[in-house]
Amino acid sequence: MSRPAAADVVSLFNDNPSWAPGFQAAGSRLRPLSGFRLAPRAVPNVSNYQQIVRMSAQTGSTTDLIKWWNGYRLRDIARAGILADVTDAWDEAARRGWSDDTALRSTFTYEGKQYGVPLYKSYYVVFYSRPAFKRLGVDVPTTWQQFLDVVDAAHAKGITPISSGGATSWESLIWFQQLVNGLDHRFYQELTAGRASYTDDVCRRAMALWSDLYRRGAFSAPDAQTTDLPAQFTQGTTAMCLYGTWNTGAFLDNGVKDADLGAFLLPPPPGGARSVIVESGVLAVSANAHKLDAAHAVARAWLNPSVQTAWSGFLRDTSADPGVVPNVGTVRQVAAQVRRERPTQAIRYWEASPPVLIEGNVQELSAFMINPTRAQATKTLTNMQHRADKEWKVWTS
Amino acid sequence: MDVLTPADPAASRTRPRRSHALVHDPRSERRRAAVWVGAFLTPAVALILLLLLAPFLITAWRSLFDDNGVTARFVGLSNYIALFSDPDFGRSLLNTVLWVVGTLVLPVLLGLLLAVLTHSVRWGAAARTAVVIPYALSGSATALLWTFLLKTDGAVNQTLNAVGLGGLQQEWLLHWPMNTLVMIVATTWQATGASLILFLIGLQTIPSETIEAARLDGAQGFQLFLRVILPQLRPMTVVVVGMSIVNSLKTFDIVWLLTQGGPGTASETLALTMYRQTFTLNRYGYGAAVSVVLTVVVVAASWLYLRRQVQQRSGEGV
Amino acid sequence: MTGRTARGVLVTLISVLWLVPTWLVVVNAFTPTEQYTGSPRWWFTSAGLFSNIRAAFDSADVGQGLLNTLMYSVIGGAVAVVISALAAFAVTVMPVRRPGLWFWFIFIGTVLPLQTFLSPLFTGYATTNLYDTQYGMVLIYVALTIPFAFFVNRNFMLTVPKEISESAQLDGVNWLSMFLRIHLPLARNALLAAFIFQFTWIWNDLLFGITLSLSPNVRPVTATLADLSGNYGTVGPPVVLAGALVASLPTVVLFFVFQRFFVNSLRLTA
Repeated sequence: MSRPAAADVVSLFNDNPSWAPGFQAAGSRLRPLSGFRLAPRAVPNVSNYQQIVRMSAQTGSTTDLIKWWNGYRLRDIARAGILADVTDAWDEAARRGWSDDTALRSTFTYEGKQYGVPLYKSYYVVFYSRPAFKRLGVDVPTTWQQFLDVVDAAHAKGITPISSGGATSWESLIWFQQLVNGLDHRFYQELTAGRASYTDDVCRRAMALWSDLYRRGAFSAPDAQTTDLPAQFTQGTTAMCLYGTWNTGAFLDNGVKDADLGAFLLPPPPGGARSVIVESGVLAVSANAHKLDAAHAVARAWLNPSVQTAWSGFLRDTSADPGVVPNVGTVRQVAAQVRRERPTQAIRYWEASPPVLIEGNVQELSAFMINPTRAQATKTLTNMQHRADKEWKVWTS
Repeated sequence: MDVLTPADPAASRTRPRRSHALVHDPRSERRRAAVWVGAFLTPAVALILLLLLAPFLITAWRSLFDDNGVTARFVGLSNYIALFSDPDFGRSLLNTVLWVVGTLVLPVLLGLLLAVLTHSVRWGAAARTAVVIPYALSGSATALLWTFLLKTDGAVNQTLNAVGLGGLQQEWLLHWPMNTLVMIVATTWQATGASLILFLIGLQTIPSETIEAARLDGAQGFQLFLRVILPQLRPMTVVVVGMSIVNSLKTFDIVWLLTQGGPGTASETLALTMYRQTFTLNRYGYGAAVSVVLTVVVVAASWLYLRRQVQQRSGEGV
Repeated sequence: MTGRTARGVLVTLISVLWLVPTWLVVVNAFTPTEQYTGSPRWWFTSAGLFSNIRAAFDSADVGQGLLNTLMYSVIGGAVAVVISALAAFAVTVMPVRRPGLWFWFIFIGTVLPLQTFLSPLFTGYATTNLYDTQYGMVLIYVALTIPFAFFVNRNFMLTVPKEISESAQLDGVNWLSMFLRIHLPLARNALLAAFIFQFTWIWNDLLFGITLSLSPNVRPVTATLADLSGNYGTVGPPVVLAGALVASLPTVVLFFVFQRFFVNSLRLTA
């Protein structure tokens, strides 16, 4: 990792090898702007990736740029001092009108300074199969009741209404975050900041909604995989899936035609307001980078529309710059709905609280998905709160 | 294998001594022997010391710290105290014991059975190949395969439905202890091949005269197996059982890939707890404590089994 | 004769049962990704295998990975077997004062949970510049595979009658010649079995391949395949299976060949 590289290249370490062509494309646009290209290196396994970043931070042999997660996960390593301050990149982006998103900016902040620039800005939307919807004769739902009607219609026709995995993975947080945030966005923020309790009324109502949906037969088996979804969407055997827009590319690459795929923001449950969960990756500058100035220059130029167009075009996902939208029908549909409805934005649960707390709570949610009864819901919430009590003390110590 | 008939002890005593006239200095003899022994042993010992033992000792040292990968704080034995008072640890231990029993009994017995059976059957080689192939498959291919056999809408449930046994369908991987039992079956599928091969090698070391002599004495089939073959297989049995104990205590890959220790942490083994604490939660000190405990358990278990076997020298049998 | 037919039936039943999952792997690797809905197939419906294999080779550096893995497995396995045979010989035949101690010292290597020393090993490799080098990979693979090979060889050498080594000593043969001329050929099968086991182990290792290597010319094939089924995997299970099948082919072939050799030598002695 610390081998001498070409003069006009900055090294980048990430956990997704399939992004390499995208980084090359972005690099060719970065060159005229900052003077440097990108040389990506990847480790495919997420937890190994994190180990290597931590271990190499100790040995000082790190790459110039690092991909990380925002929110508390960013704070976790920022406070260890291994990242460089890139507040100037955000100021520049705000000045040039590329991205003026204060909600997003706060998730990149630690003690008043920003420690990374947004790699992408994905929304959690409901992907749907247009063939399935046509078979059911339904339209995109705009209210919760219409959504329930679609679910019931699909269930009656033997189509799996919603594919929802998470029995053994992080995906179990998707519906939890959607329902809690949808019911009360302010509460979601308080909850994830450690100022509200998991046993409060909003959480109880969210879990009740969730287990009611299970009772209706709305969900697939909890060990469903999204890699099975493309063929299911094309054949119309599954109707919907709540997921991040960053997966659009994977759907399209695995056989779903752009014309057969669509996405909409889930309508808020009764009593809630329009709100959407946002996930944003981080491009951070390593404090021990060999080419520190070069890395800073790249970070400053990252949000330039020409770079973002190349990068988002490859990713087929939305960018932190709302003006840059790739030419993919599904993504355009989402971006248009966001622009029209202006929902409040919440950070994904995965990054919303201290990592140790989240990892444990996500396992509780996975256990709930396997046994989605009201009794289990109460137990789940109690366990989550116990863990929260313990872990918040550890985090602030 | 060419097997010499045991030399007559009386004869060796009366064999004329060579080098009668030379005076041997016992100390230089011993020193020369020691040099030879050193030369033979050094490569193995050096590699293991440097690349395996030293990192382990460093990890054990780390278990005395509260470490998150970037900053560390000395805490003495509090990681161990926290470990033993953690309710999840008890469940981990239970699962590990289940795994030891399961993967000791099934692959070893099946391997032995098949080694002996396919010995005397015409198409034995084909049967052996069928059993051994899974061992050659990589861990991730195996996990992928068993995932889509065992997931809720996977092959097993679909087959049960198709043959009318739909009532037996279940979420194989999602509930404890069913998921542990099913994973033990999956591991047996893969591991039997290894013990089969080892037992096959062991069968080879049995001189045919011994078998003939036993047959002449009237031993047949199962009797022959129990009284003659099994004892002769002792050295290999020790290897197979020893390795099964060790590998089952370290069970990690298949549980991680199929259930991630779920639901919650119900199907975690000690190795999984160690991995989760160290690499997912970034609590290096605590994870190091778990790995020290696991190592102690494995060493103790294998010592219990192997201690009698280790003192023997060549030719004394095991 | 019913005993024999009963045995035959039992063996056939067991073999068929064993083949079923392997069969599934092969069939489903043939399914094109667009048709894969998550329900496993029991019979070939199309010949998507080659497009799946091509997809696997395209999206990940599987070809280069295979070459790397071949080198690590052959060299690592062979070196480990030789070193462990030397040590096994020393412990069983030569006048070692505390054979038990040495046995445990080397056996401990196989007892330690692998994840335990990932972190110190990584740091050590990074500081000694062995990180992401082929030497580094071969070195750790040799170290990891010595203990089990040692165990197998030692137990096998214990079955060699003491008289053979005693008469060789009386004949004034030195240790090295005794090892090379007598014990090594006698233990040929055990050595071969140990080599094949360790070859397979190194071939299928994922953990160290991922942690200690990064560049395409160092990464083993399991690491490159993990690219396909990782968290951001953009290809479906059929492609991953096709890749895994191709990557497993050499070890399967090796086992098959080994079987043949084995059966032959059995006939020679029966």
